Amino acid sequence: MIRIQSWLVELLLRALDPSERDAVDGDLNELRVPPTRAIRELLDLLARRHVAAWMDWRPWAALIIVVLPLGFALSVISRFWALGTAIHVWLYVENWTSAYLASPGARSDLFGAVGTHLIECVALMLWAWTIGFAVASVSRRAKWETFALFALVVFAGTIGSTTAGVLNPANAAVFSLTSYRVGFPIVFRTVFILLPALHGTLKAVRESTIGSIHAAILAITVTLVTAALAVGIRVAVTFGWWSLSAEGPMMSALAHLRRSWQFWVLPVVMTLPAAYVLYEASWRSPRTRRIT
Amino acid sequence: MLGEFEYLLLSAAARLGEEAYGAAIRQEIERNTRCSCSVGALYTTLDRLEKKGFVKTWMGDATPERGGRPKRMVRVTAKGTKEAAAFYRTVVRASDGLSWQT
Repeated sequence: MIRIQSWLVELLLRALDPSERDAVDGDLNELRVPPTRAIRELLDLLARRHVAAWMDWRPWAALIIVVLPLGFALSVISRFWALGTAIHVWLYVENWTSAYLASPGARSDLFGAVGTHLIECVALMLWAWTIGFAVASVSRRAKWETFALFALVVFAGTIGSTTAGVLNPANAAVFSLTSYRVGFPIVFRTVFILLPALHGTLKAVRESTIGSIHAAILAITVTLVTAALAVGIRVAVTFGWWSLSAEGPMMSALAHLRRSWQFWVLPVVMTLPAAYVLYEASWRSPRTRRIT
Repeated sequence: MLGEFEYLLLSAAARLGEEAYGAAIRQEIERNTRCSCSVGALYTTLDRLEKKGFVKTWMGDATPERGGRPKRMVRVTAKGTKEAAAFYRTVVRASDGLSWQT
């Protein structure tokens, strides 16, 4: 029992900021606070710290400007791309035949699909990493709550909807399988969004900014990849969130969506976290960097 | 205007002088008030006071009885002393002519 309690104390201490952890641990040691009371006191301190973090405007700004809108956009785009990739995985992996390489037309289709999906995966990883890094830099003390909310929006953003691809009877052979319809998007989002965003968050925990050269390379890469996929992003948004309850194709809703200005600026919006990372790296003085 | 716990913390830190750090301040507050003082209340109040410029804190030496962990040392600033004195005068003025009997 004592061992479990001591382990819990260690775990709670690790949740504190490194700057505070040692002093608090030392105080608890010096005053010989029993483990049960130490657990209670550490939970109290952590709760106070998290409440204090949300009294600041920064976590709210990160949540409203980045986490909710970009998380939802990534949710819709990633599911659409995951299901598109699933079709090709089913076709080229489960039903592989050398004929795919034999004819020039089939070969071109294969390489085209692989190239498109690769660049989509790279784009998702870059967007997720920059979002993770930017959000954790802005809301340092509330970084794990904002990360959890981001993950929730990414995974729950498409609940109650489907895609035009899933509804298309031509894809029934693929999407009648739960592993492709449900499992594949979960794994896809975990690998290409959640893990890069987690890596970006952890990077921001260690360093508040990255070097200006790295930031410039990152911003240029994100911009180029986003520009290359601008049409793909719009297609994903157009056909990636179809109401389950709608009886016919939602043509009127689509026509409205395609006329909206948000539809056209979405690719630019996806590059904003990278622009923020570049701004932070370029304009914040080394002195400010050390203090924060 | 200071809060009650902020005043208690400033008084404890001022009384301890060079020896003011987290655990010592906590013991001093508990001795004076005969109430328990949690690490959460202590450290969040210290942060608030530091942000207001009433105390200055820094990491001190590590000692064996603390498991080799450093102390968070505390010094009351001139601004903090002025604020505590103002709080004390207010309490004395507010209590003038009163005789609390329990």
